[in-house]
Amino acid sequence: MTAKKAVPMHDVVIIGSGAAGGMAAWNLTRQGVNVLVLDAGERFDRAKFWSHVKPWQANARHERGQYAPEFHLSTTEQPYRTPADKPFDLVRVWGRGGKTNIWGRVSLRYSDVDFEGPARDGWGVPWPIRYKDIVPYYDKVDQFIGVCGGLDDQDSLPGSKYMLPPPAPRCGERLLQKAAKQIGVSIVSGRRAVLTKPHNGHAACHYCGACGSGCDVGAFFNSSDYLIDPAMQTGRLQVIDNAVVSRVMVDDKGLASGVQYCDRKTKTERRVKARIVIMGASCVDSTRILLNSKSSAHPNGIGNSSDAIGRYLCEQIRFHIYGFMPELLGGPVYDDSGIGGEHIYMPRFNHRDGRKRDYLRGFGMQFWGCGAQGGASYAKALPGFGVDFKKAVKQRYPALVALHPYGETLGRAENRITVDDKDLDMYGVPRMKIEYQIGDNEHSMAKEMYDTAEQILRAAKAEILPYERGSLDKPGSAIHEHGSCRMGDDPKKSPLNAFNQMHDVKNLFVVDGSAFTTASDKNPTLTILALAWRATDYLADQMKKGNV
Amino acid sequence: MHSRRTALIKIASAATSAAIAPLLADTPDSEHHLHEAMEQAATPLAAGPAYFNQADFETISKLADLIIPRTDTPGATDAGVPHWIDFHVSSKPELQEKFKQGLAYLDEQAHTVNGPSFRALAAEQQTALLQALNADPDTAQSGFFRTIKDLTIDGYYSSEQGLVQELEFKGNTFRASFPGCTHPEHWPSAAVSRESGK
Repeated sequence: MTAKKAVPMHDVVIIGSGAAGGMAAWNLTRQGVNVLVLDAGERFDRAKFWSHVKPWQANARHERGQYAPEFHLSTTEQPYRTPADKPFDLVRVWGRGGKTNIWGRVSLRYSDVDFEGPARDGWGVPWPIRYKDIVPYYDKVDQFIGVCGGLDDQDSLPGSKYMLPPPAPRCGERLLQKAAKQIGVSIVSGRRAVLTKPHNGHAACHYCGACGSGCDVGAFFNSSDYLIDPAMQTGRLQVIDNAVVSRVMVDDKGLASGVQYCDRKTKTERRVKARIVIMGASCVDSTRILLNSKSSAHPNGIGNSSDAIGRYLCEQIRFHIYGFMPELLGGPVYDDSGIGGEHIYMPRFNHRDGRKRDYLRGFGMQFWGCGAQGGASYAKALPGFGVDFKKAVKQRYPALVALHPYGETLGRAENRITVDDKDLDMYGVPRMKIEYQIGDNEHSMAKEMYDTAEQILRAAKAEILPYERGSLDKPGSAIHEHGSCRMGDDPKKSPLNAFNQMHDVKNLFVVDGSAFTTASDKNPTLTILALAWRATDYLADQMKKGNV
Repeated sequence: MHSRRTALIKIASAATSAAIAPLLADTPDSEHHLHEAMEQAATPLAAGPAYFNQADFETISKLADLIIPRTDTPGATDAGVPHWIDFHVSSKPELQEKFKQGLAYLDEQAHTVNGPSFRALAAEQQTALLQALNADPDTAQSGFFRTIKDLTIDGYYSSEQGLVQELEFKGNTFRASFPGCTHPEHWPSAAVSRESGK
């Protein structure tokens, strides 16, 4: 048979199966739309997760040459470049559900303090939506995936009546709340996509605290179990595994006509045609694909007449301070695993009356790692050796508290992702270069972040583990990339409109973190889910009306 | 529930993890959650060092025990730390070089006090040597001490002896509920849940 196989035609092709692509697939299939998802990897088998392999068992397994499932994409397989003086740690998970397999589960709603940031201070472009536009979707997401949290909303942290009960704070977390209150700062219960009760057919958390290895019962939201599986059950979803998308193809009108991808196993190039293309490959990878989608209609990347695609990349600044609570030193050791990670959160407060700041935007604080952990790496920061050293480690073990402030980074045109036609990956697709660095605004904010963390620990009379004031994690470490294909009402400045639809290319939608107009200080996944749901409601409606 | 649990344990003890996997996949609910099934059949590991020679391995054992000695709980050697270090260093050329230089330096220091080697010195002399390294953190030699201290910490506090017997770690366990802090004296005076921002 020599006849050329016909290129298959689909209603909607979605690139990526994480929070963004998964939500788009689920919401469209349940509304009767036929969907093809291209996933760059395969399903992770949760029966093989090392959730309940204890540290010493892991040691023994390593010696036998056994390793936990690898979630992270290797940079050997998919390298990217950075200038020598501007490092950027890019964490990617290629496979069903993407990063939601191992995400931190922190689920914070944006408030109008976040959405109004650029309109208020003039930096960047205004968000085209406000809290009232997204709140019905936040409510739906809370109910659908299950988010635990308290009835302790703040102006900067709205919540909902749909939340599952919050887990009780640990001793160290209670003491942090008490200390923060002394300096006029509120630490509320955390909001996390962890099921503190069975929910929508998913098992409840069993408080083993091993979420970072992947949950063996699926008790926290992951796109594979919560979105892709039910979408599959509609009979309207097809998923192609190991499909590494290189380009969006265009027709003679400059509209998206399909997608070109490479099979990761066979290294062969394939194409699919589609009426609608939705990007959900994560901020950086979606941006790379868009920039590589060059044509006569779109010479610098599809939908990029604004020249904003790839620019305004913003992550978050972050650092860590540890201390020991005097009340807990040498005290009883509890099982502090809980739901894994923090049970509390410090919402942004620096915008409130009576507060002054010499920088734009703000920061919040997270607290994962309080109490007895499955290790004692803090011991490396304690002096000496011998019997006294061993006693010092033991005494501090139940008393550890950990403070992790997260601050917003401004979008800057020069912080950008570019592709180089002369620098190709194993599939012959241009690799990307990430040029990113923070500026004065972030360094000024970091001072107040340090002040706040120090004040809380001092109010607690805590012993503070030595740290280098002013130091920040390497860019990329928060794994919260945003902004490189931002939403906005002005097509000259933003590639996407208020519904994540390209201004230039009406049948192309971008629903991952790249669509965010600002990064805020919050974890993006909950907002990605809400925006993707909203965008695909809009799309389904437009399809019904025959507009796309 | 109990009979099912027992049945699974029996299967688990006789099967490899690959055979257990489908069983676990069929029981996603927490009630039937069974981490014992994840235990691997333990094949014995090599007793001696795989990378270091016997003399260096003895020196490393001595150093690890000086850093975390046996008290009323196990020490570093009791917890298999020298073995852990041997395995760890075997795959890391940069650590191998550091150990080569560091171990040679310790023996040179032993010669200055007329000892044949570091490991042959009296415990007080060994301790005094380490104290000198500990007190002066900016030399290459103290960098070696730093390295072996960090490795000892990682190895010891990830061992069952260090983590469970010494630190009393109770985590990574199935629990039906999580009580959290039950000490009102640790709590803020007024319930934080009633606060709201302005």
